[in-house]
Amino acid sequence: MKTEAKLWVRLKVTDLVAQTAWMTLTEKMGFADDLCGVLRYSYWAMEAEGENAGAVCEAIDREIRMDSAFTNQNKHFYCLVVSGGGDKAASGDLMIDRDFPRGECGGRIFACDLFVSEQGGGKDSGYASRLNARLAGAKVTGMKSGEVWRILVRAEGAEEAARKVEEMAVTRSRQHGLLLNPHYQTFEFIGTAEIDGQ
Amino acid sequence: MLKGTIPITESDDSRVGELLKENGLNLAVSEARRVIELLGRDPTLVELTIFNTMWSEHCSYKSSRKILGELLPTKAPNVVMGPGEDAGVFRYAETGDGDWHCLVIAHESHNHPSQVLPVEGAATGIGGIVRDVYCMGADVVGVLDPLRFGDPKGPNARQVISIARGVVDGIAQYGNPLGVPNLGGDIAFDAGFDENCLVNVVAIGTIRESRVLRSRVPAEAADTPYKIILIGKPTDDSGFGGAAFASEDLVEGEEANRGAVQVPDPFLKRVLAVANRKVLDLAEDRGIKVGFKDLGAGGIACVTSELAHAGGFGVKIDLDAVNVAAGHHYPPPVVSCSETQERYALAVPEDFVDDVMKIYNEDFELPHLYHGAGAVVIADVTRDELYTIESGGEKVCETPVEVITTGIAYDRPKSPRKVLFEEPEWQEDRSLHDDFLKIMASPNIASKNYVFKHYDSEVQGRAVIRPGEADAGVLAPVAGNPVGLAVAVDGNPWYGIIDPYQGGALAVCESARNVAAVGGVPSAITDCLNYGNPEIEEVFWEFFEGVRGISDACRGIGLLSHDGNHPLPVVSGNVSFYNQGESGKAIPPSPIICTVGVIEDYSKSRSMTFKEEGNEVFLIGEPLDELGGSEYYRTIYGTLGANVPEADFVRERGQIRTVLDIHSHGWVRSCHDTGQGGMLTALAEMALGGNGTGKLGLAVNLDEFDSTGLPPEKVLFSETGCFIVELPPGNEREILAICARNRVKLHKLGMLKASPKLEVVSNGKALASWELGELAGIYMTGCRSIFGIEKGE
Amino acid sequence: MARSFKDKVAIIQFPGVNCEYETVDAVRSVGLGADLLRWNEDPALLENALGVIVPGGFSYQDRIRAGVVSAKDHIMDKLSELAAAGHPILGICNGAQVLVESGFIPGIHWESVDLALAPNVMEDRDGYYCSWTHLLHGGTDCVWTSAIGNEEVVPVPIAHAEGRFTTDDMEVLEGMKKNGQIVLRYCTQAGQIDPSFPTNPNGSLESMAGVCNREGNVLAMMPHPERASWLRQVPEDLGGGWGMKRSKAGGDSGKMEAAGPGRIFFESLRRWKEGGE
Repeated sequence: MKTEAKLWVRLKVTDLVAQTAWMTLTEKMGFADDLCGVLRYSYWAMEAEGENAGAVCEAIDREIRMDSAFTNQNKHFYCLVVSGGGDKAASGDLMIDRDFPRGECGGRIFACDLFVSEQGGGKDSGYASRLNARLAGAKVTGMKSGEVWRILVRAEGAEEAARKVEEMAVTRSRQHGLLLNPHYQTFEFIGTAEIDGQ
Repeated sequence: MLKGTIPITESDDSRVGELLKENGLNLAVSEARRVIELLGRDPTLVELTIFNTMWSEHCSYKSSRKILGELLPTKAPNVVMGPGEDAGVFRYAETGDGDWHCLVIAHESHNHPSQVLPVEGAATGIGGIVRDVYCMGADVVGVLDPLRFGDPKGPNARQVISIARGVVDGIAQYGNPLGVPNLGGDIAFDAGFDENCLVNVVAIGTIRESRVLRSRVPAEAADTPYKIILIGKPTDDSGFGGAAFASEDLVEGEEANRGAVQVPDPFLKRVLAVANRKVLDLAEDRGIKVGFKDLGAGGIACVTSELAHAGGFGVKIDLDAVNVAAGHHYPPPVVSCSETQERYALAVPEDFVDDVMKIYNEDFELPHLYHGAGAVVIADVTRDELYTIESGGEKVCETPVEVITTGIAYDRPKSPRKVLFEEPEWQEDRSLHDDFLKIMASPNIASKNYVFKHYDSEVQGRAVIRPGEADAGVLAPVAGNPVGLAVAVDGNPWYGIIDPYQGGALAVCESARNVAAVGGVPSAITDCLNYGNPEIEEVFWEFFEGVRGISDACRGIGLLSHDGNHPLPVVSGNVSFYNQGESGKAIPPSPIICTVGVIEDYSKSRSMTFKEEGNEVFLIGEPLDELGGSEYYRTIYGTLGANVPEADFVRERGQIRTVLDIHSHGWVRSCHDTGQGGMLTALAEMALGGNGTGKLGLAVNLDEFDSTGLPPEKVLFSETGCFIVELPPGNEREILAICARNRVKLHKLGMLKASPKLEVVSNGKALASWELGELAGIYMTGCRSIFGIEKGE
Repeated sequence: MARSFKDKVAIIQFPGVNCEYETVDAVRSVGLGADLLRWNEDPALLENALGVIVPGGFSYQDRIRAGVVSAKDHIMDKLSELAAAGHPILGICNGAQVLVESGFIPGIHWESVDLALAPNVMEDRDGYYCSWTHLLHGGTDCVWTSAIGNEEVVPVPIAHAEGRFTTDDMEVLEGMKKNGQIVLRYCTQAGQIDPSFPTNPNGSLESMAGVCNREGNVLAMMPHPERASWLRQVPEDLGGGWGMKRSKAGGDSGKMEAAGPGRIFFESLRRWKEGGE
């Protein structure tokens, strides 16, 4: 059967890149009132074939644990989710980050997941062939890799949240946008959810 | 009164063992008892943790110290500081105003961490070694990496390749941002490193002699209050137990091991290097004496005790003042002994503290650039010679400082390894043409250019010869001064397997030859001694033999720049034991030597590429029946053989003198030593050049070697150390005279031709010939499959 | 003593840059004054500066994207002012990334980010690549290349992982071409443009190695001229005219201290200054 497998990976130690993004957005770019937090993940969205979702999950999990191009358990937490049977393999918690700086946020808060990848798919085929060379019991037929920025933003609704995140993310000019350069990167929202404020 | 002591005195040995284990300590029970003797009471956990680190093999050299002290020559007229400080220092040129330009050099291993986390391990290796050089007050001007990996085509290929790539990545990811040029290094592959790779690192720096800093609280602290400032990254538990980790056998998948790997940060290190320079220059301007030391193994405890003890003072540390990673609270043993990267300690007079703090915390905004980083005052220097640590208002350590720094030493037994090596049965009808193609494709021979281009070798703008262009990297370190520095690393694992003494001796000879090839007078060496478990008698014997070989070679080659009978001094080094994997099999004995050569005029250093049609090519020296451990035997016969090259120091010294004499006349157009792969490989490398684009060919005349009585293959692939030089025509008489004076043999190999072909000729008949284009294709790509990216489908 | 950059070149020291000292040396080698200015010092110090160089390195560790964090720094407001007023500004390597992320280059729409310096695309390798390249000069009058002849080939080394000039906006590209803003392109030793690796070492669109603004006072270049400012810095095996010159200087340290090919960029500034006086 065909399934979709998504691999999320984050650093165990303080993510200095996310921290710098937070500081730049709040201190230099005027988002101190809107921004409640920044988290960053490496992300792989795969299409895969296998007998069933469980088999696909098991096969991919075995390989990504072994291959430091995907995860290195000494420095990463990861979560692999395979659609179809809701199968999941994970190490550690992906969301909680005690090192993570966050502002005083009241009101409604939305977590927007922004998937940023390189135009033309950069290393995607390399990742796919790397996995397929060793996968037993599954085959990866599609691959998109990049990073996901999980931006916690204060907004009145999901739409406003997405608009604000896009404003923070897409670099249009010296004053506007930080997280991606649209001349070689693309972005897509892969999830927006309201979360409990503090 | 001290709180929370560990009841060693009243416990029996098995209970003491349990107590040590419960607290994650590697001390032997007998060592814990020795702590009681020294302290005169039960220790606190902090104290025991400090001893655990200070008495680890890595910090204490407890197995090796005696042998190193007895055998290695460390004194010579050019040496300012030998082993013992963080780095060795020697003079290389007069400044013209009564001072000396000095070279600072340090050499270490980062083997275990690189096996477990290749990228971070290799990066941290560079991070640690450059700190050792920076903390002498020097500017770091180059790094080199001798690397040993497993067999990329063997049963563990997947892991071997992944480690090799990770290590190269780590070196690039750290060295490039730091802004220190990579001057080369070497890479060897052998199945003996499958479970335990070697990642050695050398860093060199330059400084004026009058500005060399000592790692001690200055004598001025007797009259003026001094404080100790901790600078850099916030302390965390990332490197807790690192020194102890390096001193254990590697066990696959053990979490405790993995926690000991540090997280490197070249960005912070670069900013610190710039800020440190400001602080040290300001102190110099004001005539303020400071003590400076980097934090490495043993963290805060080690650095403060050594600074204080070396100066004859005591120190009182307030652990609560230490800046720790945001949101964390660590127990006192972790804060005092963690090996968090990118930290320094500076002892300064109290009234200089504010200026220092301003430079780090305001001018360079450390706390802002890296969450929690910065400079904080953590200790007072005291005159009572007591070492005290306070945490939460309580004393967690209090003892005379000399107790903390008391060493420990073992007399390890050794016994010779009894393995019989045999020469292979000679095969008469082999194809020289095909065999040589196999050799040029071997990962151990093939060009490492692909790897070198991952590294920034241009930064600082002082490189004259870059990695791969010649046998040694060359720098012009002093603006407007023709003095040059040549650096090379060497260590052949296969010689060491057959004969560990020759392994040590030949590593010195070969690296000395490397610097001489570019016109450098060998002036000092460093050694990184990589071996298995020293508690095994055969392994310890290998170590002893290696050190003996190094020692003999240093005395045999000598310090050619100075009259009188001085040895080539060992100015710095490192011992790395317990290099073995799960199977318990030790790595091939691997003493790795770095030699620095001083070049009178760097403009005479030439790349190894053949230069001009009509020039003549000579061999200085003569190949002997010494193919034991050679590339030829291993690749073609699949065996090591037995006749390992035998170091002949009189011959080596004569050959090196000869090459240096020819260099000083400015005649050398290109020069290369014959090592791994022998004469034919060296000639091919010269014909191809570092880029593989050479177009000048040569017909090698083997008739010259009839008197050796050796078959052509042995002449061409013998690994007896010699030099090949390219000289303009018309100098033969003078060259012969120089060779005669130095009592070395000279053979004329042929004349360079404009046809891109390498030929071997005997009795007027071509035995084999190769188009340079064909050789380049094989030679330049031989390592690409190991280090190259995986292509998409 | 108050610091002043009057008639001097200011080299901006963002945290993490690593070519600032040799860049100072290279500027001084043509007889101009040069000093460092830390990123957080008073931008007003730049008021009377002759020019500004943003040097190479890894400012802010290339976090998020090379150059982008520096581009948001306070001091860039001042550089923007200076750029608009026609002061010479040069970005080398990481400095080029900063100028592109600031929208100074190509500058067709003021401060609009219309270009990117994307990860290298190379044959058989990825990531960081350190090598000598050859640059073909052409296009409009640019302060920093004014001493280089049209169609002249200048060898200069590169060392970067993100140096691929690219844009999504074909109008911008056409504009840059029409305005002659692509003043440096990677070429062979003989001056031929070849879009394939290694002649074009990073997959740059149009083999772009250096792009200036329309007015020619701001230049962003990936190669490092400060690493090619003395003859001794040229590799002996480089080949071509400069390689030959370097090889011939072997044995004569005086000759080795002569100018290398990259000095022409700083020499251009000196001549521009003299032309204005």
